[in-house]
Amino acid sequence: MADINPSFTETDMTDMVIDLEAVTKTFGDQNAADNLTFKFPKGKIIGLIGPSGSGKTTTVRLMTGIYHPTKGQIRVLNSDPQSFTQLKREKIGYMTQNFVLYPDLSIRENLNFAAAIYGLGRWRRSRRIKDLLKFVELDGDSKKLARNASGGMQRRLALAASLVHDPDLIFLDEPTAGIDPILRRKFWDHFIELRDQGKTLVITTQYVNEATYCDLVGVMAEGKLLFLKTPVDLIKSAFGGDVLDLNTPNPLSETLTRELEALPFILGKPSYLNDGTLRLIVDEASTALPQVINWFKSNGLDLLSAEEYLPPYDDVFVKLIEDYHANNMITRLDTGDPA
Amino acid sequence: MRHISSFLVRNFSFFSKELVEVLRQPKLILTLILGPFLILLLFGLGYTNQRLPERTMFVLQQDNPFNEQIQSKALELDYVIDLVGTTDDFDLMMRNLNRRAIDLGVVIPDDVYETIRSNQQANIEIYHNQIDPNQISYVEYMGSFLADTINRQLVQSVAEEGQTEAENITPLVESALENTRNARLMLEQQDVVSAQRHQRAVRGNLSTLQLAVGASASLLQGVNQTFGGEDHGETDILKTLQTTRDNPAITEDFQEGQDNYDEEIAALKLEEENLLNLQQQLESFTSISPAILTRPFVSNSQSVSQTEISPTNFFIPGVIVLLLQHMTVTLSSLSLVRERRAGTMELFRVSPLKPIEILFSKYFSYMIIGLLIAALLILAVRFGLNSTMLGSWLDMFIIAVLLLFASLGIGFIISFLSQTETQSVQLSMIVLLFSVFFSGFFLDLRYLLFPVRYLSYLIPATYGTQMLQNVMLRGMGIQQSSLVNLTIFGVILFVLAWVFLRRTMAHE
Repeated sequence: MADINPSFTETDMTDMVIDLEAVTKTFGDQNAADNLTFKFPKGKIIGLIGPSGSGKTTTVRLMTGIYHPTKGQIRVLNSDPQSFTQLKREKIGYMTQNFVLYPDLSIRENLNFAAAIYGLGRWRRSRRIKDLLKFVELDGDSKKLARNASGGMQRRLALAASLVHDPDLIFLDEPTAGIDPILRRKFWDHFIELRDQGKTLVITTQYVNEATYCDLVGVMAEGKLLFLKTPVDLIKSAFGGDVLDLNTPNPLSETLTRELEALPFILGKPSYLNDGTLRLIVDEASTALPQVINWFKSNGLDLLSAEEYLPPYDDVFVKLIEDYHANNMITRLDTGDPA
Repeated sequence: MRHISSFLVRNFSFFSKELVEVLRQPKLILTLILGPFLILLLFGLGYTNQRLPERTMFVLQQDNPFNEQIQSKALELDYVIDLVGTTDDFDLMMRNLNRRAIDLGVVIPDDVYETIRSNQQANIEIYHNQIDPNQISYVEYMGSFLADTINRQLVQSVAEEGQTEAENITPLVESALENTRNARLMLEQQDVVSAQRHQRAVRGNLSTLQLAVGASASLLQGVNQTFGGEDHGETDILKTLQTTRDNPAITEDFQEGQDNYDEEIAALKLEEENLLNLQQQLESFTSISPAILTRPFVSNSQSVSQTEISPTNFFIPGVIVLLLQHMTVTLSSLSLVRERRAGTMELFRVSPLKPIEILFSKYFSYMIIGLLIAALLILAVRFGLNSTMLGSWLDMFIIAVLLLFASLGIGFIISFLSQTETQSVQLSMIVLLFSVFFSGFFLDLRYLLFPVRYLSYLIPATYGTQMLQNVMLRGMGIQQSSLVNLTIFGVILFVLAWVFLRRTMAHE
């Protein structure tokens, strides 16, 4: 059962552009998407993270109307994707996982074609393409044939093609796959810029650390949506709360450890890492940290260092998936109750 | 207004894309235009429509009367037969035939006279080693032609002999005339006995004449009786001869003791006139060539188009049609398969493009590309091969548009049936092969039996070839029926392609 991030306020949730209710997509006897229920707000970056075959692309195709759901209901931009009008389709941008443009056309010619299928007139198109080429930093290579462009350039071309008609809702299926870290960073800068312009972006990725750029992160496995939270809340879900790492000259006695565990803001049992670091899980790091320091002082104990630990998202993701497999736990968006 | 503008932009979105994609492949353009042109050029330069004489060996006994005629080439068959030799060894001929040293072996029977006497036709056996049905038909025709030639030669010999006899019998006619005149003079002098002597001499003269003129005169008379014609007297030889023989002054003996012989004298005067007439007829008859007597008719065919059409010129309309159809079918079938396999179809499904807009846009693009290639190809054959063009260029343009329109439909349907580019190329090749056999390109459709013939009308090339041949080679306008049929056919294919594309783009 998935859990929606509590830090999202009611105001954020009122203007939803995507609404899925118990959506399942079956191929043969396999659920590629399994009972998906969620809502995506407008003007945010929503990341869908999960291993290969977790159902990310299927979910995007359901939202774009390419796939018809086997069960459940989908509303995108207040319409059923199966019956999108042409005007509604003009508001949607879609970048596929693989490069699907034309290798024998130049970068500019590809963009011209993409603009033409969205009905952009010659003048409007010319201006828009010029801006986009600059935006994706391909303005110096516009005459290069797509087949001669590097993988990174092709991804940027595909991104530009999906944005050429200035859509409000943009689906990007693994846009950063196979791209070097510097260019990946530039992509995310572009996405954030688009988000700041009021666009809504739904982005799938296998790079878990990219979750940090998202406003909301959906973790998927086996066609199910396990979590839909802010990146910070995702860490809490993985570890059960915020994490504090303390360095002490000597290990605490069993009695002191039990006293520390009994403090009201401490969640779970304190543990020692291999390097002797004492790790505490607390409900809120900012308030718990001063109280922990005071507790050490009041007990006459030395404390070499104390700080909040922000785990890499790779670790968060691995822990979440491991926990899922261990407990086969599914959370629901609406109640947060275990299944 | 903006909606209309967007609609138009979307509908022509593929044009520049497809055009650029084709133009970026110069080798493809060369293959599509220069390749066919060079093939036609080679064909035009290298193909000769003249049939070579068949290398022939005759099998017959050395003393067979035909042997002399064959050796002396009296049969005048040089343009169809290349005489390798004659032999009386049947096995030798067969060995030569088996190792293809000769094309024909002709066995002339020995006992012709006996066979004919027993009221049977003599059989000339012709052996060959052909496997091509057209060649076999030709050999059968050759056999019949050879038999006719020999028959004609025989009749000609008879006619020649008749004429020679006719020339030799002039003294006989003169003698008959002299005897008749003498008989009349004797009767006028009441010398009945002498007149009777001359009368008997005339009878003998006329019997000999009857035998001499015989067959040749009958042949000429037969021509006149069968086909009619102005009577110049030449055909009346037998009749005149019979009249002279039936004259009572000849048939009935003169009687002695009559008071007068006025009646007999008048009859003898008439006989003299008849014999003079016969003399003139015989002179006229001997002046006709025996070859004309035995082969009085020859044929001379003329085309209503008043233009000599070479084999290359004949095939040019068909080749243009086949090439345009094949090029269009191949390009259009590959186009949608590529879109599907590359994944662009996924983009189209999310975009505002409707299936009908994609199809229209593709049709428009390939129509323009096809017309450009057609124009270049037609100009190349017109001015490079000096092909015949008797009709209107506008008609040719209309035919090209309709042909491309219908061919595009076939190509797009192939693309929906194909999973890979290889499959679409293979299916396009099958359409080409089918078209070569069933479009009337080299086989007259009348030779195809029902219902196979109607399969021909399932390919645009059939209509295209018929219409283009009429326009280019006959100088006619477009046949309304072909025009309507091809249009209907193209529209049906367009609708089918649209249905297929809707299914392809439908939500999975």
